[in-house]
Amino acid sequence: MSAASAAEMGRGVDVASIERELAALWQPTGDAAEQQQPATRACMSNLLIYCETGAAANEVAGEIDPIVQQHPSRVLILVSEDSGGGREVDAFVSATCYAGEGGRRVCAEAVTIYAGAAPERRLPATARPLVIGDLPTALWWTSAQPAVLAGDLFRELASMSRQVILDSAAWPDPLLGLAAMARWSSSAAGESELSDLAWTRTHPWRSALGQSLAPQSVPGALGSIRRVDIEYGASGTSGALLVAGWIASRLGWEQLSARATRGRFEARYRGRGGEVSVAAKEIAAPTGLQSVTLAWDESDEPRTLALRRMQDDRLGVIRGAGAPHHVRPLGERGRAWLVARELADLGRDRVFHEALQASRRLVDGS
Amino acid sequence: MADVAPEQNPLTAGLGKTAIPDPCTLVIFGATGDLTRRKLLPALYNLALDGLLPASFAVVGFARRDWTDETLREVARDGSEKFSRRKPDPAHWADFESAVFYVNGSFEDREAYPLLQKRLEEVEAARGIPGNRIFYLSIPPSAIGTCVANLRAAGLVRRQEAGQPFSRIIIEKPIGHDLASAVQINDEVAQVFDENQVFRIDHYLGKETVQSILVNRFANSIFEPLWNQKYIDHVQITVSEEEGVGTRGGYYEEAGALRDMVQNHILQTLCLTAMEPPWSLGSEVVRDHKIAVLNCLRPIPAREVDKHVVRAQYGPGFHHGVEVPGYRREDKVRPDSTTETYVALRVFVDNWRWAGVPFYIRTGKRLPKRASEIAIQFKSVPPVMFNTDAEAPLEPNVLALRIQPDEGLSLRIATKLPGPSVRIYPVKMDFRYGSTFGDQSPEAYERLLLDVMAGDATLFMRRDAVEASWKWVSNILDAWHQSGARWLPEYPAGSWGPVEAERLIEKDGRWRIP
Repeated sequence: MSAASAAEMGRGVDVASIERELAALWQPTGDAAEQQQPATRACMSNLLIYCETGAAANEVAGEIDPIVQQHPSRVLILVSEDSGGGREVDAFVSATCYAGEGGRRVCAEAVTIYAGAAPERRLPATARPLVIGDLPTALWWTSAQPAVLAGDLFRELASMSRQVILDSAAWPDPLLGLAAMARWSSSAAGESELSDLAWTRTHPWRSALGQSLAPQSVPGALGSIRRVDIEYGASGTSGALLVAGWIASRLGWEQLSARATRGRFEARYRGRGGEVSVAAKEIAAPTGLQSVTLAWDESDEPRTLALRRMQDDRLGVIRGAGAPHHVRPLGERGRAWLVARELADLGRDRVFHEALQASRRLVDGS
Repeated sequence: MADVAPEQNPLTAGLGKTAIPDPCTLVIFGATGDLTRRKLLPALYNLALDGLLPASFAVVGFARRDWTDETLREVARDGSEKFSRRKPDPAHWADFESAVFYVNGSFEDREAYPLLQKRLEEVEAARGIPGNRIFYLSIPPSAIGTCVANLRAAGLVRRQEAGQPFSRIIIEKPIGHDLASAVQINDEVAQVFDENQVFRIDHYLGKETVQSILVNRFANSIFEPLWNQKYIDHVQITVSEEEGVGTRGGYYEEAGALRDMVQNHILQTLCLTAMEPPWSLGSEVVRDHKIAVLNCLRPIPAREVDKHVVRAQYGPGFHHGVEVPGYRREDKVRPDSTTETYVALRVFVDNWRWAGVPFYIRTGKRLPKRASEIAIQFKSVPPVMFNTDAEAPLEPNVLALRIQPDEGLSLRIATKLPGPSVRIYPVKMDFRYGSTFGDQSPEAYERLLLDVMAGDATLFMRRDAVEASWKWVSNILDAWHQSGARWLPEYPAGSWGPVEAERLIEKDGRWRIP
């Protein structure tokens, strides 16, 4: 079964009694208790979710179920807006339940906290005592404002968290945001691990590129790439930048020049086999990466490998011209699935950090 | 240019914990069998859905039946419909099945192998596979020698060389039926494949919770200091099955519980439980540490087999309230059979860590429920303070690692009941994978097939381990053979085994109910 979201079922409570109210969620009461299976509380981590508005919180509340089913957590939704309840801080508690193994009812807790005034002080202060000790804490920053540009509120919440999850694809100015995020990441290394859902979405592309260019299959290709072309649709700028940064950093290219503007970026690198040019442009397409094409020479013969987004959530691998040589599932999922996937991975993604820094250099042109 | 070595691929670094395998073809001998339909093809489909198969991949079935590519594709779809954890998705199925091919031929027929070679070359050329091949032998153990010899004669296999396409072989358990036959099979295989090309598969070792034994032991600092003869009273390993022999009576008559379960699954589980901390997770390191346990198993001499080993057969009884026949009345079972359907053993690992700690092992068919677990029973607290009542001693702590079902672990501890007096009660702290992580574990074959493609042999049995296991159980088999017994103790179907098994353990307590 899937329970209603926090927003739908949340019970308004006094902030000081949130923990007591959460405990009460697990006490069977009345006739319903006799009819229902006892619930098992599952909790692997604390998940702080920052939302700028109540509308954003309502949207997030609808994504809690799939997240906690994959990664049971105590969820604290922190909203920097008044709830309309007339108090400085308003809180609502709820449980979200699902059918676990053998039909057992497994539940996770959610608390939604609203603070319109001085949220940078009230939200962290309200959340701090609700964080369960001995469990990892993650911050999911849903705001369209790049987290690192949000000042004290982000710094306070990030300081409580082992992991910070954000989605640069949602930022109105991804060039500015990515560069700021890269600087923060390099300065805060070791304190909070950064995860960008835009990077996570590129995983199938990176996996397909890595496999398709395996030295055993295409000897010499990785060392003689001379051109990379990327096309992306709406919200695809940061994914394209990160893929470009990833290729450059993995292959050890040295940046010679770069220019990035809205809807287009270009760069020149010195690769091991000579100069490499990278060009990316936005095209009229609904979302994300659309194609990545690499060109190289093999015995003075030009060779290309293209990855192209196909219908029905598929990715075509095209060698040279013509029809896809190989088609594989793209496996794109909603952001709730991506968040749950990131929550499960507590390690530092060194490859991402290197790609991020290479992307920053591309944006900075230095 | 050659600035990136053939074995290095910087673009696959950091893509995940799962290794990305190189392009390859999986050739299944005996492809028309049940294993291919129920396990192998569904596992490959799930790997494809997860994007874990190599970019260029093909599966080529090879068997005697007059099938076509289309027939095997239909079988793949049917098997995935019925047995896959995810059903065929119309958007992706066509791409998956386009990589499935079939070659008609008998593995005994040398003339069929060049035809297989020709088809493989066509498929590899069309799909950009550089000649990497994995041969899955889903055929009777007695046919393995013939098959590998024919593979070599047809030039289908090459020895391992850096930078060259790989050839690997997967062999299923049982590897032989005793030490001599296991050595023979291993010798035949070794004439064609180097040991690092051989993957002896035991699906039990691919189960998530079997793999997590090492994590539980070595990723938690609280267990390892207690994991020795100072603190552990004894260990119980149980693998119980509800079902009888069903349609496998013919096979089981030749095998029995000792060969079918103990020689492979259970001894491997014991190794993971008892091994010293390996200094890395490298496949040879882990397997070296496992063989060290097998080498420390105290042999059971023939004259002591009856003292340390109990064998029995299930008689008629009830399974979930339904009357079921005894073993000797099952299909393809001799009416005077002395094949054991249950075995319980007391085993000692003679090394510093485990000196004097008995490992009690039991496995059987037609037991009350299907369960596999390893239970570590710690020593009792001293008989002072809370444990002074000799009539009602405190229950000792037990750490139970459950492999199936309800995968997880539990720890039994003593606690005080609420109230003014001190009343102590055992409670169980329970962790279940299913409740915490949901039902998302891949099937064992998915993990194992992927490991073979990536060349990771950690979860596969090395030749020395197979032969050491056979050597150890051979003492028992020989003693049973020499005893000439014409009757075995019986236990009613649906019970936990014969009374003799209770006597085996009574000095150290009693069997747990898993």
